[in-house]
Amino acid sequence: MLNQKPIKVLSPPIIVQPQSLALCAIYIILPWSKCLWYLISKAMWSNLPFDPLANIFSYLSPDSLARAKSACKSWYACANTSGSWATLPRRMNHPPWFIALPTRNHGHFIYAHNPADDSWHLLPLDFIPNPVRPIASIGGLILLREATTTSLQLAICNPFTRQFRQLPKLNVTRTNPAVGIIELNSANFEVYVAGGMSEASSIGGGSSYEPSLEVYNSVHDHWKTIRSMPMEFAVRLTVWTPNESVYCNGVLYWITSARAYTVMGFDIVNKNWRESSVPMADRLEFAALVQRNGKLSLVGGTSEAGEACIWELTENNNWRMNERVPEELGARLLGGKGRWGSINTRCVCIAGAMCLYRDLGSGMVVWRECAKKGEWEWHWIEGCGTIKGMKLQNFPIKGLLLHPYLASSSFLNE
Amino acid sequence: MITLQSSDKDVFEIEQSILIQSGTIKNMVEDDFTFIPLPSVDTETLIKIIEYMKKHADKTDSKEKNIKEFDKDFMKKTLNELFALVFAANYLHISSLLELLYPSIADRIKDKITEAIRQIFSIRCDFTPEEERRIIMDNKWAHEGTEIEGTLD
Repeated sequence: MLNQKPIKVLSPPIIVQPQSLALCAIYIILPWSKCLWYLISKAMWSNLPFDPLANIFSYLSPDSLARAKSACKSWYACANTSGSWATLPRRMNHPPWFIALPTRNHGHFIYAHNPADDSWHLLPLDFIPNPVRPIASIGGLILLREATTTSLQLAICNPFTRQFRQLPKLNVTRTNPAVGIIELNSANFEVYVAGGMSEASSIGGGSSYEPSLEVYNSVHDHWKTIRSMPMEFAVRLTVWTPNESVYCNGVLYWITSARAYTVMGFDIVNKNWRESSVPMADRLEFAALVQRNGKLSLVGGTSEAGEACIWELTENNNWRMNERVPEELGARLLGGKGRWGSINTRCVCIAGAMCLYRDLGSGMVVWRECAKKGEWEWHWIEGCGTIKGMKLQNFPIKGLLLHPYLASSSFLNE
Repeated sequence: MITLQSSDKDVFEIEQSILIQSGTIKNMVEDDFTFIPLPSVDTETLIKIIEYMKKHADKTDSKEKNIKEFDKDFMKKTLNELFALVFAANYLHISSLLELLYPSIADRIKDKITEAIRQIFSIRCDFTPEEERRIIMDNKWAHEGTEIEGTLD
């Protein structure tokens, strides 16, 4: 014994609660290690250290996590700590949720589809003071614009944590600009605003197209005017205000909202603009951009062909068709109307998923990356016809795809 | 050979090559310790952990299917046993065992209502009634059961 090296006794991580301390007092004559063993042998799940608990939680789908965090204070605190969830979501292969917001005044609610059990949930937006229109998702958050003004005023919310915050005013007041988003990492993002019409000047001139680009950075929390942009891009982005942007390989892309479709891109690094043509630009009934496996893709359908197609932009700037929307799914979305021109087809995408939809009740076609990296699968989402047993009337929606984020963001707390 | 001592003072002599799957033990071995007391791991749990590490020490292609079968059976344990295992594996830094335990435990949580989770995991609700009411309200969408709550507009 005397020749042995000193024994290193490690102290294990454990959160000690008051009642446990009382038990410790009873055992004060015993070595502390025996006391520790007593606590552990009682299998106090509420005492499980943060790291393993956070890892267990990362395997739970958002609705299961929401119910688990309501169990006790330590579980609530763990689930609510931003860091633990932000780094883990996609690793656990939870598919994104489809979120639907009414486009007109059909109530201040969000309809959220849970892909794990194919159920629809209703989330109230009563924590948002003014009427808003959704623009796009950023991580688990939603970028919105206030509907009370014609000039663009942006805001961000998280419908799952019921947080809401306005962004600062733009440097130049504008209506109908194009809005683009870049997720820098799991916590920070940039919002780009390009073009739009500036206010009529007080001297008596009419309003004019605003050939400039501003960017908002969530870290610095202010808008920076980058530089002027070619007038033709400003005009096109304003007149044919695009729905969403897609960021791919250092370029922020927009596609015009109607035909003849063209794709415009802003190179973030070199700060210049470029343009791409679109296959069958004047015949497509709908067209939308998708980012897939690091490449820019286009999904679109014509009224002649039955199937909608997907093209990929190759290295030499050509479009190569490499996939079709499965005919059966396309037909279900069209609802027997047969032709792509007969319905108002909408499209939304995020990294790893794309969704075609028309309104709340008709069902949605989803194309998403599955567990096997690089492989994409087609799915059908049954539309929302009833909620909590009550029949719903059908109405047009703006759809988004997002990974629900259940922790409070410090960004939204400011 | 390394000697491990459980909280019940039982000792186990195991080959170093098997034990280095534990990051904690590996560090101690590198510091030349040959006797390692583990005051927060009881004998029953330590036996299971040694069993796991022995099975995973010899990783050849032919054994991979056996290992997968073993892992599947290994997770068929009571919640109390899983708790002791995750606590010990976390303390001992055995990442492969932890990666097995996390989804297994998550499976026992998922798709259950909060009260069922509390009962199964023996968790005492330490929220005040007011706090609990507010938390449920904030996440009402997830707590929806079969009750119908009024009109939508």
